[in-house]
Amino acid sequence: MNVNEKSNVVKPILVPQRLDMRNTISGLPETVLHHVISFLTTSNKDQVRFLSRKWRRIAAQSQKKLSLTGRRLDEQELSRILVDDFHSVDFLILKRFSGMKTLKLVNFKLKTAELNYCRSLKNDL
Amino acid sequence: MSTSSSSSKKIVLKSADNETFEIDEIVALESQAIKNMIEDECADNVIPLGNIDSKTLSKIIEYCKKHAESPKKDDNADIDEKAVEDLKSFDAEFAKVDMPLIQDILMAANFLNIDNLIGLMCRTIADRIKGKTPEEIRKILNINKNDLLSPEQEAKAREENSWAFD
Repeated sequence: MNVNEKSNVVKPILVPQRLDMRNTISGLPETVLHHVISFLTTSNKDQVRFLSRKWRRIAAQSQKKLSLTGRRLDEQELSRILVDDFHSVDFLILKRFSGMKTLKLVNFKLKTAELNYCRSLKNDL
Repeated sequence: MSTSSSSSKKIVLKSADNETFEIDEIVALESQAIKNMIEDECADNVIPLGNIDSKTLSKIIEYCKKHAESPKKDDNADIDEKAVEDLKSFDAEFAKVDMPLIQDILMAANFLNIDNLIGLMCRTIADRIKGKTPEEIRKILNINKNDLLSPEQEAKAREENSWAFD
């Protein structure tokens, strides 16, 4: 009973699509939002990441340089981050991926990779 | 709309609120989308722009007129520096409008494929959110509250900030 009443309360108010999209940045195509982000420095992008799920995704997709520390990431997670989220990265620094034996990255724009303290990791990037 | 020179070819645009704008073809060519229509001979009559209102369209025409009149950078290497400066200050003045109009112009410029104008509007938005907190930016851009990050996603975003560098 209580649960039902509650779900009625949180039901979203329906707003006509056009009204909802008008004058909101979310109505713009993602290519345009990428263009906006291209004018921002890293410190400004840091703020943009917290705006909404869409902006967080776009900020990740536009990021060209990434420095990751291995302690909390396994190969699967690392590969997911680089292929799905940060797919524009062309310069990558990996630190302390010492437990990892191999790392294969597909569909990736990488030009430079720097390995620090990754003794066991064979360089087959 | 008055016609300035009777010799050049005219293009007629119609806004969503049914206002018509007659402009010189050279001005219309600033839009890659309209240029394609003209080249495909699909622009003989009125071009209906059902998603652009007259306020936005008149701003866009103002921009295209100015840019069509100005000498193009790639035409000539030793182009008049004064003309470049003049265009720069025109752009700066042009961008001094409120955020809803900027977003309408950007949406329309994207639809009409006017590269310089897309760039100008994107740069303007970026300039206005620089150095602001996420809460301030949400207000400036009127960002939909339905898409806010969950606490877990916020923690992820913080982690992603520590990964990114320039």
